[in-house]
Amino acid sequence: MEFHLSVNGDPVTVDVLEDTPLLWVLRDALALTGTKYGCGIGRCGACTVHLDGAAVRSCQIPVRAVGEAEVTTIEGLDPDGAHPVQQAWVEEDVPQCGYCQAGQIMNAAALLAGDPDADADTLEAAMSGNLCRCGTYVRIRAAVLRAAREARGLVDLGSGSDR
Amino acid sequence: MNDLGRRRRAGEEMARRDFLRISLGASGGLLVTVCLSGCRDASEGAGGSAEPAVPYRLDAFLEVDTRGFATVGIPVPEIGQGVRTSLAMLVAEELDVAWERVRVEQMGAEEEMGPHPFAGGSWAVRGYWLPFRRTGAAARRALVEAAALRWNAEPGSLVTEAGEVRHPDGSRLSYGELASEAPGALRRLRTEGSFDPQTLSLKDPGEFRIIGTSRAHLDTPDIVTGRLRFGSDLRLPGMLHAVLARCPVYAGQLMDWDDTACHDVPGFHSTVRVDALGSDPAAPYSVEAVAVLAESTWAALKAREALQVRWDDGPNTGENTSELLERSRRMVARRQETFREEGELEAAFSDADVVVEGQFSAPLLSHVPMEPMNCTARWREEPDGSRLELWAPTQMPLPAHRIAAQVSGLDEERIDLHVSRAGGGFGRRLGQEYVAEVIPAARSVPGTPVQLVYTREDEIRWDHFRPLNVHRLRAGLDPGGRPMAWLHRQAGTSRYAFREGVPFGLSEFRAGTWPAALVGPHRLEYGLVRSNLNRGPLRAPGLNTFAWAVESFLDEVAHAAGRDPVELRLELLGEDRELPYDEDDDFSTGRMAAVLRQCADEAGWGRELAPDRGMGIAVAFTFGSYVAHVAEVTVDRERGEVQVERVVSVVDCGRVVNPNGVRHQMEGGVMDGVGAALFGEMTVEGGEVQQSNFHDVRLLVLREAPAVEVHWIDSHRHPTGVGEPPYPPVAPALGNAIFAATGVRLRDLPLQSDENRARLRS
Repeated sequence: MEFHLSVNGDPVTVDVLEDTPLLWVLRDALALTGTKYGCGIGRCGACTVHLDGAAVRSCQIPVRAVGEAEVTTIEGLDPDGAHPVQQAWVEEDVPQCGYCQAGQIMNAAALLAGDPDADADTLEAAMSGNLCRCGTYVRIRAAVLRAAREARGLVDLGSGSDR
Repeated sequence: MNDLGRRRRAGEEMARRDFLRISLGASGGLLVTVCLSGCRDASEGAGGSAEPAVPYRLDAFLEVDTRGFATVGIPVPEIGQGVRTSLAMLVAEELDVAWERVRVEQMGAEEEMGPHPFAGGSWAVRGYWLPFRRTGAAARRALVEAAALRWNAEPGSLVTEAGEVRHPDGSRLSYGELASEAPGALRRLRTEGSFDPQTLSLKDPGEFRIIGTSRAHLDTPDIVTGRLRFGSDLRLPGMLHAVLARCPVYAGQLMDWDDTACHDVPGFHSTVRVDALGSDPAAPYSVEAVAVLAESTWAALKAREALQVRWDDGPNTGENTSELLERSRRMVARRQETFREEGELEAAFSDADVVVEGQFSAPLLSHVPMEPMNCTARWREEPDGSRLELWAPTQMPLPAHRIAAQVSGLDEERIDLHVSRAGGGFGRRLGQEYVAEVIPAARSVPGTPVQLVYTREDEIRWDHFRPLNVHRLRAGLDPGGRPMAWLHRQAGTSRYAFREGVPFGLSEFRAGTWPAALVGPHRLEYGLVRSNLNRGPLRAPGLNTFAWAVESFLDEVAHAAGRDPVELRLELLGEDRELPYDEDDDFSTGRMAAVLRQCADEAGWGRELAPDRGMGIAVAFTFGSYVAHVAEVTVDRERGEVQVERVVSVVDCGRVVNPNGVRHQMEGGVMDGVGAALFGEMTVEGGEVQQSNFHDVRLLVLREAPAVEVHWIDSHRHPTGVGEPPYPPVAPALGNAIFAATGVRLRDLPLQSDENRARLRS
């Protein structure tokens, strides 16, 4: 069945089963493999993308439910990696294996866009649905706080981490 | 031909006996190829040995192109341990190239066997420390020689820095300008007999500009933009997607199947039988299956649901973890096979002032890397026969290659195996069954690539688990409270049950040196609990449960004797000396004492804490590195819940190559240890794994993650690894901290089981 979607600002047409989760539309039909499969039941966050700016688990959204909503994936967040969350992830050198990090970044980006004044506890709670098996949590915590400071315009962009 | 093949052949054109060869690369630059194992080096050849020529094997390479970029071949799979960055640093240091001009290229598998690169044993930096530096130094030497010829100068008068050769008069030549002339310059030197790769001088550590400085992982920019491709991200034209249907009972047999209903799923392609591999030690967990092929992952999953399969549940319906643990407990109540023994143990126990006993257990544990197992294959029929191409996120390329040959029936040189980036390993990808399983599917559709993926449920149920075990420990103390007799009896499902000719206890005790050998009279015993359940290595195999038992028990001993746990360990370690450990390492009492002391200092050991808060310490020696942790926990006595507040860690891993990398692995190893200790447990009933996804396999999440403070011993020793060493002492540090907070001694992992939570509720 054909579906017309808007992904990373581009109109696309895909011919897939109507119950196909958005995750597999992105990965198989559109070869946008930055969005990862981790569990298929919405419990790990590796497949997080934005639907009209809100973070969703793409494994839980059937393609027929996407409709006119704008889909943003890690490839579309900022292809140059210049988004403040991506920059914070680079500054803190967050990833180890890297597999969960697109989901972490997409979750953090939506979170900070929605509530730039969120405090540390709120941010931690909101990031606690994204699993990282390598255990990069020390750096995820630091990077989210760094991105939050930057979102509030409080950070000196020149002050790099000692890492 | 892939890049590797091109480079290897370029290397083969050179003399066969060299350990290191220098030639003109395909891009017109300088190519250094390195053979570390299986072939002899030039200095050995000089002895006129009559040994037959050994086939050339490419272990590493370095190419300096005419733009001055250095490309380093990385033979070890990258699973998140940062090996691409740390190995490149070794080469770049001696080459004297600007770090920004360093590139890495993941190498594939070669057909020759023997010692081989793999992601395990925390050995990559340790093993390649000298060869990779030598590789960089040889290239630098060739570039200097080329500059000397150009300037008609003495090579000794020239210096290198940041990718340039500099003349005392201020002239400069970039590596890019010299790259094409360097091989010829060096060949001349070689002909004159004044170049020997074995005696290349390496930098004095005081001159290091890259080693010892923090470097971000080279792949980070590609990860944050989603560009980095993992094994399961490979997308080839016309590729089919495959999933496997397996018997819910481990190793049940495939009777027959009916895929009629699958044809109703649009995009369904076909089904193919997948045979088990038998008892190959690299894939003992391969089981019979039906591969379902379709045009998309989703269609394959839907078709698998529609598939009708008749299974014979086979011989394993009696496998139950509760029963295996019970058998282990019964076994440690009586004498088992001696693994290691010294002194008059019974006499020492009867002389003891006090005898302390404790029994500890550890459950089966799963690996659950974030990227489930997968492998992509393309079978081709060519005029001269069949060929197979594989893309495998594996920790062990050469066994994967060998198994591919075995399953396909093809000669190894007809199989190209590309090593894909892996989304985590933890020992899971030391198994190769996913490589074997994709081959029948690919062979059924020649010319069409097939990607096999495991779902998370497949991944969890068909994991090879960390063995379960029970430890009974007994210590006799002298009047001062120092252990003078030590009995450690262990029973469990050793993963070495699959191997012949090795003691089963070897995988679970390793050497068993600490603390038994320091106590004096001691005996270590191991009893194998027979089971057919899949099990295999998991981060710091054996040591991760060994440390849980001995470090928890030492804490009990200290408290029973009224001694401080740090001070008692230091007394046992005694004066600084080395004890035999295994074929790779001696055990240094002084180095272990140093990490213990520093860790206690950094953590503020002994300071007053709030009620229900406690500190625990533990230490372990793993693959040549020493790690101590002090964990600080708060226990909610209403709910029986443990919050790990802070872990202070000290590692002695010799010279630190990449401080950022060491910090990374220490932080991650601590988190892994915390998650596994609190929640990690797999259970099996009737031969069926009871957990299936993240709703019942609980991983640590951000709000549960402790702060981690990492320190290391400033050392000039040969570097050792950090991937595994931080893991073993985490669980006992937590158990000991819980005891300090509550007075409740937890002896059975996981620490947050229902039973343990009930005990912690006051």
